[in-house]
Amino acid sequence: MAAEGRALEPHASLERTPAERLATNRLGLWLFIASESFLFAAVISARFYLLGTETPEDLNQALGFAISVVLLTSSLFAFRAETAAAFGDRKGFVRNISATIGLGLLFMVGVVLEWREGLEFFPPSTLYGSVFFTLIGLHAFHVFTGVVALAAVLFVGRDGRFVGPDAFWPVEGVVKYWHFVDVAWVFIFPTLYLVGGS
Amino acid sequence: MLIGGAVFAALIVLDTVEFIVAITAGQVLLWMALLALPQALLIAWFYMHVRQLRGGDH
Repeated sequence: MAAEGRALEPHASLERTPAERLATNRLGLWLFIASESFLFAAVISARFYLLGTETPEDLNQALGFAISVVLLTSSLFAFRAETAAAFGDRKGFVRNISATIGLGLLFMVGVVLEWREGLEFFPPSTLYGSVFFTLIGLHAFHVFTGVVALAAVLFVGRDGRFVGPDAFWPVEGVVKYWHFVDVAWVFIFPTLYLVGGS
Repeated sequence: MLIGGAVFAALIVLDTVEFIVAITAGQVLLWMALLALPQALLIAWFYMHVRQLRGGDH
């Protein structure tokens, strides 16, 4: 009853500082990344459950290695883009985020080449093909959404609105997601291409 | 920026070793795990700044 008579005050105690908001944003993103990790872990474990370490001889390991290098390189440029945004370097941000997008697209071209070979040698109707296309497809979808998010940040932030120590959260968020896509590939590459030997 | 380059170099070396081990050895599941984990940790620690979750700054 006493609460009914209490005056409504502005929720001063609920207002958060920019630093607190940033910490909350980061925690939310990490929780999202953790949930995505479980998804990838489930599909990766399915590969070992269904096939053990069996790998088809027609698998193009060199192509897998090449696109691995492309994705790792894209992470370097993503890191540089985030650093540039944090330190107020607009040109550096635009240059490096553009390079990240370009390498992401190059990775996807590699995936298309993989799929062409995969459809020929181990189509989705086979056990390995089923695992291969599910895992590569899941990852490629994440790469695609990452490229879209990077492009959105570049398009909206090309005028410098996301540049500076207090403004670069959108860049940091999308770059963290991109790095996560890279971490996922670090496990997918050996799982699909290398385990089982040549 | 220097840290980014050093981490990238380490990642490329680990990836290359992983690839070479795979094409020269037979069953290499343990090797793959041993080489993939450091790569993931390098990315998470230096590129994704996972330490921020404990209150560390950028």
